Amino acid sequence: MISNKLKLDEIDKQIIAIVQEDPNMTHTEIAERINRSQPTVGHRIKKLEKAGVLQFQPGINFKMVDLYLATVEINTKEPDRLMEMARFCPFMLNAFRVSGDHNVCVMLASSKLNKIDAIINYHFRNKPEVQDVSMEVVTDIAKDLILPIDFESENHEPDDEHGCGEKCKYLEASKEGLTQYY
Amino acid sequence: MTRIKKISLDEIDKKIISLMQENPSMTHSEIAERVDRSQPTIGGRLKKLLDSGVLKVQAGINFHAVDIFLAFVYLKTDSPDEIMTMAHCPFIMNIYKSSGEFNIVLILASPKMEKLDGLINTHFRNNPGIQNVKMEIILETAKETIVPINLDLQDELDPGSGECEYCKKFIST
Repeated sequence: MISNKLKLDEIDKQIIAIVQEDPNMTHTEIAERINRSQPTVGHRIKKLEKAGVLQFQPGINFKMVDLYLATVEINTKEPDRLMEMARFCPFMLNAFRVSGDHNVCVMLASSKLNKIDAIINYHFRNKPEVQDVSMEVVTDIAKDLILPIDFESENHEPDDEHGCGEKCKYLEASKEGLTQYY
Repeated sequence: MTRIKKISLDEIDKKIISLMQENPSMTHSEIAERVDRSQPTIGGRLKKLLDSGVLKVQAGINFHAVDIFLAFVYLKTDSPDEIMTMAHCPFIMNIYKSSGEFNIVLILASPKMEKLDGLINTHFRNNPGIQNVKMEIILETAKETIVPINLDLQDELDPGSGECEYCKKFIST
């Protein structure tokens, strides 16, 4: 059974299922639905959150807003560098190390497509360690896609030659000694 | 490219969203102070953002904390709209239409790899409307990745059997 692997019992599973459906539901409402006391529910949720199993993450719903979303597949000799960059770059929603034709996949978002393109040209296409880059623009999303976004990207004007220049958040992080691969 | 009635955000909206992302339990008055607007303004804005579905809280399982498999599946297909209707499947976290050679990207998640493999074999590799299938397993994510997985349903279902009860309800063939 799947849930045995995660060491979750019936109550945990019920709570997770309900909360995923409606994160705003109160502990009292959940308690009523699963026929347990309100303190039990509160205690369970706290336990699941503390274990890092269940998490609540506010963000914007990309299905509803006028932002471009792109997925970029990359073949690079230095995947760790891109993974680190993604933690600081406000255009990069997330990056994934993958096994397959490519070894890194990066998701980018911006109100302007040319900004995404400039980031890809400067940070990926121009680099000697990068062997292959393919960018795809997301044109439709099937269901809610809720991700935290850093609107700092709106104040950046990246170009192909200089990226975001001195404003680059990855550069700033490296100056503060927060990076390993810059 | 389809760009449907989407919402544009102004500077105040963006500030409110940023603050809520940082600390979801922040009160309207605290936000009002930080954004330098009145408390009713913030209340009104927040209501608008929440009602329209722009600002939302995602609850789910943290990929970093538990042992689950996440995978991208890329499809080259004649019938992308039909694939989009599969979004109800409890193994499919989301589906994107995409501009590239592969015109559909799916994100799959499950603690059981063999169930994902079964799903891909029976639903995509066997499908005459799909010309090419490519799967990439996610080994590591740069940022926290929260996936809403219905474990109960996943336990019950076996998508590789070809007789998955769930699918019959949602896929028109």
